[in-house]
Amino acid sequence: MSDEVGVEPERLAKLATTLESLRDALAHNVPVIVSTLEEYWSSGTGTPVNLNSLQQAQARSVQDAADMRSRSNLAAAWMANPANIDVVAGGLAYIPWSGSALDQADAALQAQNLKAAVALAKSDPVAARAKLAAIAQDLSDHASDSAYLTAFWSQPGVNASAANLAAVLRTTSNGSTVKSASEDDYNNVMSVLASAAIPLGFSSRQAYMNFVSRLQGGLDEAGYSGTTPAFQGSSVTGIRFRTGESVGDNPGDYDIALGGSDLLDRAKELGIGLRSGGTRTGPLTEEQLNELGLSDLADELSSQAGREVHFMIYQDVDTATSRGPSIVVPDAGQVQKYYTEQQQAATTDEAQIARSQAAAEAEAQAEAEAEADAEAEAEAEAMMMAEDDG
Amino acid sequence: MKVFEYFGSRGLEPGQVRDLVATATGLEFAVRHSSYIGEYFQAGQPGGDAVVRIRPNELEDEDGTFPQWAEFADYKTVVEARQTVESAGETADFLDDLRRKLAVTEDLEFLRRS
Repeated sequence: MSDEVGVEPERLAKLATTLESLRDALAHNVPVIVSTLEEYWSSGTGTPVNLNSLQQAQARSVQDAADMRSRSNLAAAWMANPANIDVVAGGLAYIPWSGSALDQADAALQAQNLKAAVALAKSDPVAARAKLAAIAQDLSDHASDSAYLTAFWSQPGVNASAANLAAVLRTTSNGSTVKSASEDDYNNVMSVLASAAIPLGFSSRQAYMNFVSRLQGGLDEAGYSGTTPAFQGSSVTGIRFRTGESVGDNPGDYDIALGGSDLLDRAKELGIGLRSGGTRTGPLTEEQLNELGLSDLADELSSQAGREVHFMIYQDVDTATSRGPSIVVPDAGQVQKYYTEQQQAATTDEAQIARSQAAAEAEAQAEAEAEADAEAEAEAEAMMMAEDDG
Repeated sequence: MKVFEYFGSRGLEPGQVRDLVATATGLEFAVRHSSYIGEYFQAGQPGGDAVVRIRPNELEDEDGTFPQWAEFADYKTVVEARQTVESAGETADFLDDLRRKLAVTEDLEFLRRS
């Protein structure tokens, strides 16, 4: 039996859509069917039958649909690239069909798409938004597939792209700031960001977002706005490096790489010693942080997190992530700022509309009252005239 | 503003220095872990106004070993104390008290204040 199968990309896309419809239908109906029948049987009516196979079908439909969408994505992308097509074999492109090879290939494709979406935002924000929505959907479909998500986030450059995701939202074709509110944009970006791991030790995703928002804000205030932070060490690996013991939910201190040439240049000016051929510093002492204007920020973050925060400077975040497991922080502050601005704009618009409506209603009321007064006056006059005539 | 004060021990490990400093000052130290620094000891809350850290001066990474404080390269363990004061004129009471108490401790030298 051959381990290859030939399919047309268009049919794969249709099959993926059909499986997604089946997944959604099962997700909607199976819990209702199970609940209704169990209630029916518990009342002593009818004979119970085993519903496990129905529930298993529902559970399995999620992965099946996600896998088929991955195959469809790959088939379309690979057929669009002549480099992937085997002309000798009659114009075929070979894609992996299942397992980790499929996860890796689709995750790599979506990582490329993410990078392309961020770049595309500058020239064609509409197309960028469409790409982002597709990536968000794929990540959402794989929400319970940790192997896929790990493969996605470990692709080179994906963290840096995610850190710049807000650019997709904020940029218009003429380079100005987006004015109209878009909850879809926000939800798509958050779907991408929320699929990333968060460092150990944070009580919630919101606590993490608050922390990184303050971190990025503090770097901006200190004049290092081009810096991308990345968590490293046991908060990422879950293992204490020197002893190999598991840290559980308590990773100890937060070790954070700061990737940015401006910051590294400033460290050089201050005479801070460099390592690895001048591409990074060692861990910074508090006095060095003070000289760099970052010690108050470190204190604030340490106090916020309830654990010490240590920094090490790298020439860029890719150098940092290539040195060891890392979680690059998303540009949470920008995303949140964008969304808050949009919400405020929407609220302002609503308030203006409400004020206009109230003014119009008051005007109409005044007109109606004036009209009623005039009518009453005319009626009174008519009655008086009638009485006079009488 | 922040005032820093340093003490060093040429021969003692951080754990031994922790015992010495705790006995001399009554400060309570918690053991902390960092993948950048390794194991060290700290008295005072993270981000607090007064903190004392006892740290190994020799660190190691893929490039080899190196001193965290190159100016104190001869010292195996460094005690880093920091107090935040409102202005330059304000007395760093905590650091003054710390230096007074540690003055009687052998194997621990005052290095500098800045």
